[in-house]
Amino acid sequence: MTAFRPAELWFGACLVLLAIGVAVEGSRVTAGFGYDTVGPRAFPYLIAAGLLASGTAIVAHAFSRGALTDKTGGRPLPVVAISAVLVAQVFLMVPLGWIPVSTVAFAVVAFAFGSRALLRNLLFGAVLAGVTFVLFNYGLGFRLPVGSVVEALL
Amino acid sequence: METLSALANGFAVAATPYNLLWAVVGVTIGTAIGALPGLGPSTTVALLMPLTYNVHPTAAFIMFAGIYYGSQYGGSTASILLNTPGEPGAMMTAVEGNAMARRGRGAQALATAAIGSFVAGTLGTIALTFVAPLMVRLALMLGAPEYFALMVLALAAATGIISGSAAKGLASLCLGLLLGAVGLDPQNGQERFTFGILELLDGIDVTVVAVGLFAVGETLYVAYSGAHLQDQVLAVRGSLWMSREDWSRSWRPWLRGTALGFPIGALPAGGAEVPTMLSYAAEKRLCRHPDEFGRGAIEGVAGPEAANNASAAGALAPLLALGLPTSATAAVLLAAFQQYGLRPGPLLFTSNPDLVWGMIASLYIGNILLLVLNLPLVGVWVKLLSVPKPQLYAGILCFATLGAYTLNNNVVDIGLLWLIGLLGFGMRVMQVPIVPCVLGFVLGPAIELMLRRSLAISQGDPSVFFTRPISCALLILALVLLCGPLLLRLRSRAPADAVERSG
Repeated sequence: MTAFRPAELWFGACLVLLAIGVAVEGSRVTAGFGYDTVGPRAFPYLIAAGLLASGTAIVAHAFSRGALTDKTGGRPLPVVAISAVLVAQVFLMVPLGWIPVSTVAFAVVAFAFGSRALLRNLLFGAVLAGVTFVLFNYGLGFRLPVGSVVEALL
Repeated sequence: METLSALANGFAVAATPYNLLWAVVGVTIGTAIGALPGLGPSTTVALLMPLTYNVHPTAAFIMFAGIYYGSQYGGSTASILLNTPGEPGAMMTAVEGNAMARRGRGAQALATAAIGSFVAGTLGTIALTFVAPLMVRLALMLGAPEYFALMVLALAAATGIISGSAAKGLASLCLGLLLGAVGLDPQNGQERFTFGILELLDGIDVTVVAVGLFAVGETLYVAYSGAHLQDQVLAVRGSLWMSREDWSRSWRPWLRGTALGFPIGALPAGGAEVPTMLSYAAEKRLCRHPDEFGRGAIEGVAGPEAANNASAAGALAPLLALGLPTSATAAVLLAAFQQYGLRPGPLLFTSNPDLVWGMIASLYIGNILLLVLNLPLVGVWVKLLSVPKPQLYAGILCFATLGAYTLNNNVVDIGLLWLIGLLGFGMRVMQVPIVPCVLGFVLGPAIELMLRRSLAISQGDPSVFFTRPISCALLILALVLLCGPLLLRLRSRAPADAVERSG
């Protein structure tokens, strides 16, 4: 009886699709000229070939015999939560500024890991965000955002 | 002897108060972050790179050297007290050291690890002092085809020697090469894989890749696999000093570990796992009390720790002399050099001797600082390790975002951090190794450049790689390293299949 490993099948299939994408995108690069016999397209094609080879090998392995070595499943919800935090930061960082965004992010991530002390985490997050803001902006000369919305209000 | 005079000059550079301050900062932060579970030296260096942007390059690299060694020290503290090695090189220390800690001998484990690291680090740095210039002389014989072959060898070694699926190693490598190809092509400057996003023209920053793959990927994976039990930090009780017996049992493993670690660390085979495991096996074989292994034999901590630190020193030799990274951390350091517009290699020794020798000198100084810091400050590190997981990982993610944003004051980098973090997460779930990805990312543009330059010089003739003896030999070796383990595995599976069918 063949053991079917769906995760490996999906992963291998993704690699094959990626290989096709890389090859297509690589072909759109304007070609080289003059002495450059190899050109800028060669490397992407090589990468695509590597991805294709490993992808098909992994797909083949998904159908092979042998003991299942996949790790046991986990909980996708925390991953989604943390991803949402990071994506939100992309959009909210500039308008709202470093301190509020980072504080909320800290609390949400701690929540995703199972900590239910919401107020305490918000406090920790605020302190951490504040300290890093002061340290980086005034101590090291960086420019963490103050927040365009915050600036408009002040 | 010009080496010694260059080194003396390096000490003069490293011992200025300004640079010494940065050395202290480097070793302290390196140890603190290296002690945190889940953050190994490569992530630490990548995370702390933004801190150094406003600092003079020499001071920045002195700080990096401190972080590099410091994170090794910190990692051993986490391994011994918390059984969570932050990186593969600390695995053996975790096995024996944690066993020692459970028997109430945690302080001795920490002491032997710290002193062994000091001995190995110092001896390793001495070896580095003399080996690096020798390698430089060797490097002057290498042209573009040889560099290409050497880098292919490095990647083949990292991909072929990992245990598990060769296909997954290749996939990891190709993903890294792909990430490295984003931006302008190295020879002609044409856009590739930028999808019209302006910020991608400069390529993806190494900090984003390293922090994304290691820190964010690890955070997502821990959240996914949900290990909620609070790890027990073992208290450091009883006498803090090593007994005479401890010393006599430790000093030979220290020396043997160093002898194993340095040369293997310098080889393109991906870092510290091999020498630490070899050291553990050797110590077990040579020990007079082999039954103690697994229950807290001090040799099992002394040897692997020394091997770990010596391999870190060893990895610096090809990095500085040839620009060839042999471990993920060395790859991140290489990228740091590139950020400053410096190219490690033979030219660096002549064009920036202050920087190179100052960095090597500060490795010596850093070792002393680390010994002084680690033994008395054990209590502080223990407190650090007691931070509960939710807040710890929330803090790590905060620093990761901080690091990514401050690179270019650009939220695109945070988005990339997330995407690459997802990739790192996926790789962990699928048990795909991560080191080939980082090496592929850092070496990809250089390999491509060497390939195209070689073919441009030979006017399109690919036999140039095989007609030159050095590059031919290196490429054959690379092929052996890639296919050898694969063939061995196929051969060992064939009789097993036969048994299955007949049984």
